[in-house]
Amino acid sequence: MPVEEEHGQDFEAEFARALRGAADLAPEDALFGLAAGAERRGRRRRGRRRAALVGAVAVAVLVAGGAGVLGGGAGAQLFGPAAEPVRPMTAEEVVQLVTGLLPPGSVESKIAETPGSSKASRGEHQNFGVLEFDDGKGVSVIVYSVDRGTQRPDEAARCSDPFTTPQDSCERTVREDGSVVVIDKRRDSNFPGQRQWQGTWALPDGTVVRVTEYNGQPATPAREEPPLDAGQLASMVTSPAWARVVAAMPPNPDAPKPPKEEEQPKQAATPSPAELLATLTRLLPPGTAPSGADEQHATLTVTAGERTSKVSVLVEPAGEQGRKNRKGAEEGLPTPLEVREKLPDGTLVVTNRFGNGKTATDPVLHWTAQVYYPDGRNVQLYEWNGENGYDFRPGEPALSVDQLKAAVLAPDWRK
Amino acid sequence: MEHILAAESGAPPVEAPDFPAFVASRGRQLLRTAFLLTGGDAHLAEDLVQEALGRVFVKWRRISRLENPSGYAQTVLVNTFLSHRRRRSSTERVTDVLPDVAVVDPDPALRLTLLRALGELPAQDRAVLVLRFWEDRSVEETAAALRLSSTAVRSRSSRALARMRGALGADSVAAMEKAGLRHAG
Repeated sequence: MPVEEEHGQDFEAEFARALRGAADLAPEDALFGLAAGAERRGRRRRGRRRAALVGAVAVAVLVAGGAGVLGGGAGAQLFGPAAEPVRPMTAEEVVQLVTGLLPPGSVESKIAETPGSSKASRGEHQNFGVLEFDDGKGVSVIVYSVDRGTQRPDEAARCSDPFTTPQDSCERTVREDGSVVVIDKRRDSNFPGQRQWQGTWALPDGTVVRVTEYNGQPATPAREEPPLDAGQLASMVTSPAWARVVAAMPPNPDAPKPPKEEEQPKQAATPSPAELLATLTRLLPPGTAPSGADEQHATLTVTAGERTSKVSVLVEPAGEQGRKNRKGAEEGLPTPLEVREKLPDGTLVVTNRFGNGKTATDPVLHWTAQVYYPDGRNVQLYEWNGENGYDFRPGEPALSVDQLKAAVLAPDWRK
Repeated sequence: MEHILAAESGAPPVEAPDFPAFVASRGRQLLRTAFLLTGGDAHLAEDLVQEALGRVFVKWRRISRLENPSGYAQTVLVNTFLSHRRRRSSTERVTDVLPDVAVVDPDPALRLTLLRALGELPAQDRAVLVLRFWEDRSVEETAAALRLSSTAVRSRSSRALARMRGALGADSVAAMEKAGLRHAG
């Protein structure tokens, strides 16, 4: 018997709200010790696991004559001439190398992981570390990683999407050797004042060097800007010195291959965002008008008098994914202001309003209407007040939920 | 929110966060989940979160590339809690000491009653309720996280809700309603 029938939705909704109230009593002061504590535990855990591996690896090295087992490979070649077989680096050596790439100041290593000689461990193609760096103007967290990865530069080095991630600026440079450098200056809407500047250098062979610097601790900014400016950050990530770290890791068998000529981008099964926005524009009710379009995110800015909102469209064609969406919509726990309605032909129509969280209602920040047809096809409209995809403002939206519902049910989407 | 994010078709996926940044942004939610799972034991909650994050940290590079690292971490946390309970079932206790925090609280007594009632449920039932009604997970997602069948999740959920209703008593249920928590639909 469904739980809902046995206990009533009122009690469930009230229970969920009461849980949130009880969760508010959770202590906040523990939060900032979490990362360090977790890392200590993680290292102990990994240490236990690796202890069993060390013996096996030692035997393997002896059998191989102890040389050439962890040779340079293609990753190192982009930094210069083909590398000689290089012994693995210790974490201390890597930290020393990273320290040498930083401006003058003091460095304290908080985490430093290197694959070392443990070929069988998960991270044999990755170096990772967290440092606290003090240039005399305040301690800042710096995170570095060096991967012999599997992605091409066009995937590995991208600017974050300013629509979903607060961003001050992003510069992306393609170099003559095909490598890509990105300097992405980001923020985090959860932590006012935080600056998170990330430098990425991605090479065609899958090697990725990444350095992220904060203006203090990630959750507690302590200075205006991170310690390295954009130029220093770019010089740091593209330093030839990383070649030593790369060469000390074995080549990745899944390193990217040159693209095959016959590879074609997949045909879109749904109408293009431009077509979706054109359809939505035709369906806008009298008294409302589009005042902007963002095709990349299939989002239309709609104005009605003094009210301006964003409306985003998602269309899923008939098929497995569409049926999964429908199942989720049918079986999920209803949220407080959600209304589900089944039409005689089996079509499911859902409207909803919710706040900061699916069950929050005060203030309401999101307005939605969705239709799920029996063949799996579904059309979803989401409305919010705000300039981007992470800030939501309360207030009357340009389109009411009923107007969203009328638009989403229009046969135009099925053409 | 998931729907909103899903609606942003054409957007490149948000880059995986670094581990400290992940902890900074998700730690609070994990602590709250652990706090509910432990029936309000702040110290044990912190311990469980650190243990769970330690497990996540070991596999972070792989986990950070998952579509939903937060969901993964929550599942690890719940399983850490359950294995802890299996090890420590003979020393079970419900805390009487709750942290002194300043919150706008329509009914502090209700919150404490709720935590105590949660603490008295069998560990797996508590995990079912927390995943279903705090994490907003579906029956199927809860079943997958706890390695139970959907039927088992439904029956445990049903039983646990009944116990919660009984434990909270008519006064507390009425208090929920009085506190402005009434279902609006």
